[in-house]
Amino acid sequence: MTIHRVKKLIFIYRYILLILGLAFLLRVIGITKSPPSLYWEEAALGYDAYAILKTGKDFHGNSWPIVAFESFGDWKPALYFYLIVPLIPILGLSEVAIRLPSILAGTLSVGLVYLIALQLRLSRRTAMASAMMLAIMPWHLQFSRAGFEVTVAVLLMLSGIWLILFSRQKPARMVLATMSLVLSMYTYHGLRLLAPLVGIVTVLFFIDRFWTQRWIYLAGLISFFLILPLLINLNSPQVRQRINETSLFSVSQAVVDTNQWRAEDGNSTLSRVVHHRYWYWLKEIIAGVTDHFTLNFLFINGDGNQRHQTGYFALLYHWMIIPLLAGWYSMYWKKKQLFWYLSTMIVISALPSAMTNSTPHTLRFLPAAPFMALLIGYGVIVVYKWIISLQWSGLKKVVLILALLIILGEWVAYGYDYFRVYPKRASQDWQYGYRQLMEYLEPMRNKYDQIVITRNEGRPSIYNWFYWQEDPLLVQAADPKVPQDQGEYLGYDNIVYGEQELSTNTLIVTTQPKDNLQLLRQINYLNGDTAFYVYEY
Amino acid sequence: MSTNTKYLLLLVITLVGFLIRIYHVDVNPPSMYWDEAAIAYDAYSIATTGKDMHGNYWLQAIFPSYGDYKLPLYIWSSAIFMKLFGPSVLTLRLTSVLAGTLLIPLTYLLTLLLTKSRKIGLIAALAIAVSPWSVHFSRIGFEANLGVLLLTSALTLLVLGVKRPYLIALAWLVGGIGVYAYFSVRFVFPLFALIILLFNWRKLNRTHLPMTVIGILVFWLMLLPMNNSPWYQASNQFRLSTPSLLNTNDHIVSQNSNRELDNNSIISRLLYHRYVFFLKRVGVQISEFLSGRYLFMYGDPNLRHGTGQTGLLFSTFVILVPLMLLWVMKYKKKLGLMLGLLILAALVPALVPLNIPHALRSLNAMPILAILIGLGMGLWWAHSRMLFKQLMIGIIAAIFVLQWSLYIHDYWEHYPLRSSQDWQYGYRQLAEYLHTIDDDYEKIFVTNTDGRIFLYFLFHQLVDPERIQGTADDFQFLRMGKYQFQRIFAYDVEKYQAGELFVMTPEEYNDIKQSLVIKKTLTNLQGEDQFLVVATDEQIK
Repeated sequence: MTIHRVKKLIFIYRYILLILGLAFLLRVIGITKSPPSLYWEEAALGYDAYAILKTGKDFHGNSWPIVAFESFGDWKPALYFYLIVPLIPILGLSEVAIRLPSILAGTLSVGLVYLIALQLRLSRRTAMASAMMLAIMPWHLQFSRAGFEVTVAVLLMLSGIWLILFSRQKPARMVLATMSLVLSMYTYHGLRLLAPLVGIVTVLFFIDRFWTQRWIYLAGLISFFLILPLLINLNSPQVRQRINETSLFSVSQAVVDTNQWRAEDGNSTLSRVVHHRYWYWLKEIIAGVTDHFTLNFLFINGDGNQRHQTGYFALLYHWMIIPLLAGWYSMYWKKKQLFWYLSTMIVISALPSAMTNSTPHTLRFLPAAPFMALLIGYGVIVVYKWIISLQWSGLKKVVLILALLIILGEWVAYGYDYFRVYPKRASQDWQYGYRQLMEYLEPMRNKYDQIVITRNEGRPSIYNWFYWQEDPLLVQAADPKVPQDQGEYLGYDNIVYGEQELSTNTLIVTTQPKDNLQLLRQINYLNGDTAFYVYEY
Repeated sequence: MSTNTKYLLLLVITLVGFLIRIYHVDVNPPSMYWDEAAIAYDAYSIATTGKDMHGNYWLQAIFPSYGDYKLPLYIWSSAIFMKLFGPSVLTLRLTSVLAGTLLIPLTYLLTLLLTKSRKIGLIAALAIAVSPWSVHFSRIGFEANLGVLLLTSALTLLVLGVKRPYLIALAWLVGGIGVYAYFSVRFVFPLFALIILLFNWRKLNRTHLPMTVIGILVFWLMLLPMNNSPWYQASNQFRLSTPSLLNTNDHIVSQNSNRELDNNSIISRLLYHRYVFFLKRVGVQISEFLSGRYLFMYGDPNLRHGTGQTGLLFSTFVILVPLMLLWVMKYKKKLGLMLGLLILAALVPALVPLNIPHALRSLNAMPILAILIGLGMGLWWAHSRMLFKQLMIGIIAAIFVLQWSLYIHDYWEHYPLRSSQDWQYGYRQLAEYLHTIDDDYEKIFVTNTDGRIFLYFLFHQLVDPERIQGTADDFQFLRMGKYQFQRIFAYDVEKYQAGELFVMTPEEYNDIKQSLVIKKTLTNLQGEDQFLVVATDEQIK
């Protein structure tokens, strides 16, 4: 490829390249400042990747896990760990290394939305608007900027969809498509349910006479073998654990209520049908889905977890409600198939979240973001055309300028809050302080007989190993010896995590001030409250 | 379909609606709530003595009731029925039943005026007749249901007034009457009038505005007695004392904490202004009322305001309503916007308190929602070119019948048990039981852990109003002849005297470590012990 050719390509694709550049910048600028610190899940991803890199085993000593890493007993799906592994030699065991896969996945998702929009026979302009919407969407930014597996899973899901659509021109792509979808199942819990659904729905909508396509059969066969490890482990803790912890079906209220209603009806056969717990759950699931479509969740506060959105903004900018509704309305009357496709996708994206006992959930619902971006992008063009069609040119200009001002204003407000105030407001949610604590403790770890670290802020051990770059061999060796709580070590070397009788020459880390002890150091959150007190006994 | 058939259909729908509303209305909901009991006794008192339970003349704008200041219209109407049919739960709830029934043809009329389509009118009427939301509140003696009827009548007059302006003045008069049924009409009706005027701006001529001015004057005059009532200040304070947007300061706390985090910079003063947070707060309130979980799945979590297992609309509507809105916006954009605004206006008073979502306070929006649904279905019916349209309609109808049957089954078989506590079930049974034995005792102490139990003794023992008028202390009758209402503690039982009887809850009974003999146990509908009628050992000897 000559330089001339490259230049030409860049020129042709200059707008979408600009959008991709913007998307990348928005995702990478100040990545160590906001979010202000590594959450324990990020640290766990990082340290397990480090352990794999050094020893070929995770920190518990399991070699090359395929389905899931045990981690803290929550069995995290495996792919994200392996994405970090090659980055560690280059970037070190650092925040950037852990967050980079997510940043890149987020950026590439923006490109894929563009490609999908084109495959859906939307205009180039609409495609660009959709990509732009995903690029600046607070919801997607939030997760692209931290080490969340879900961003990579969404990227893989999107590439699967794109490849399915593309297979209309090159049928062999179907194999790649299903492989991409299967990979997403190895990346994030929710996609294990969602990816097959997404694949099936997309095929049903867009592949004519799919049963005559031999590539589909091949793709199905290959993906069956690729899913086998998951299926084999379906009842092992690797897959079950997380489902059992969060599932709607593990809550016994349904059984209690339905049994009572049956008893009130005298346990007749009809009452067994009418008051079956499946109906009860179905209703709960529908209600759970609807929880994701409230004003409060999408536009005002989000799900209340400060790691999942800033709280000042929710998932979408407020102005997006106009193009969202306009796009939805207009698509129904002009592109009915697309309307049903996007509506179906958005609704089924809420299913994994709806089947848990905490709805709504910004993180689990993220797969819907690209589809929302497509709707909103379409709506932006609809609204733009409507403004242009206004009779009076003075009004036209006023409306356009006003719209631009609102969009820019909200963008600036979001950015300002995100970089200036959000890190302070949410520093506790991001477990800020552990890094400072561990860096402070490292030089004196051997001066004391015992170091006692509180578990009040959660999972101190992983930060220990992460920031001390502890040799994984030592951690693995300790695995059978130390007491554990759901895979979390309660002690390591001369460190005790939790409460402990105090003896001489001990260092104590607490979250509450203590009397009669000599205070060595106080570590504060960014909002000025104290995270940790370090005492000497 | 000929016009006559349509009238016949409307008649049938109304009749069905009436039967659903009145069937065993005194048995389910399983007991009177204390607001109902208070209304009932005031009505009984007026019917027999011409004065309310505190001895005030019946013609007053605000009834002090048990201290929550009730509006007069429902009480007067119940008093009339009690005069005619005697005091009972049925006569108390009859006003609400009739109001809910009359709303059916009224909605038909309003829909007809707005859409010029009898078919849509019939769908809207049917939607009201069988809707769980309307049926539920038509079976309870709450003032809101009467308020909705008057508000909707006033709205109908406003719509008629576009062609015959003098009716606008009449509309304001009816709106003014409505305020005496349900307080929120005071805020909702003027908003309705404004919306109707705005949406008919082009049709207005020189008589509309003067008529509106006259109307406002009439409305103002109508409100005078209420504003001059001796209880007006107190009733306002009572209303404003509930936690609401007006007395919360969340937004100021958010403002200050965020500004502080940004060192009070100039930009932070703009971004984190309390109005921003207040707007978010209002948004949250609106969001709650529009949430799918509330509208389509479970309704108001308060079991007096719904069965807890059905939404305000059946769950099928979770798919139908969004689609209907698409059809309404395509074919009747202006009317759709107007109805949307009317619904928002009807929600305004319900948005203010923090206790949301609230199916009772938002009841004013119900008829308009029914019109919207009728409109959406009618437009789809008229314009859709879908294959097998008739089949689709049949399927939807079948699903509705199924869901409705399930709702009715739940309402009659499970709801009374589920909600008996919320309805103060057992108070009546206790009052009636004690009435049969109170001749044998000098004094009877009755627990009032839930408060206001005396209202049930007043009404269900049909205490002669003249005997107690003027004896209330802070509007409560805690001593009433032989009866004394109070928490029961061990020392009350210790210093008992002969001829005394105690009624206590199982918890109180367990707290008293003394040998007591249970004379009678009253259970609630779920079979759990609710009241223990207790005598001490010595008494039995």
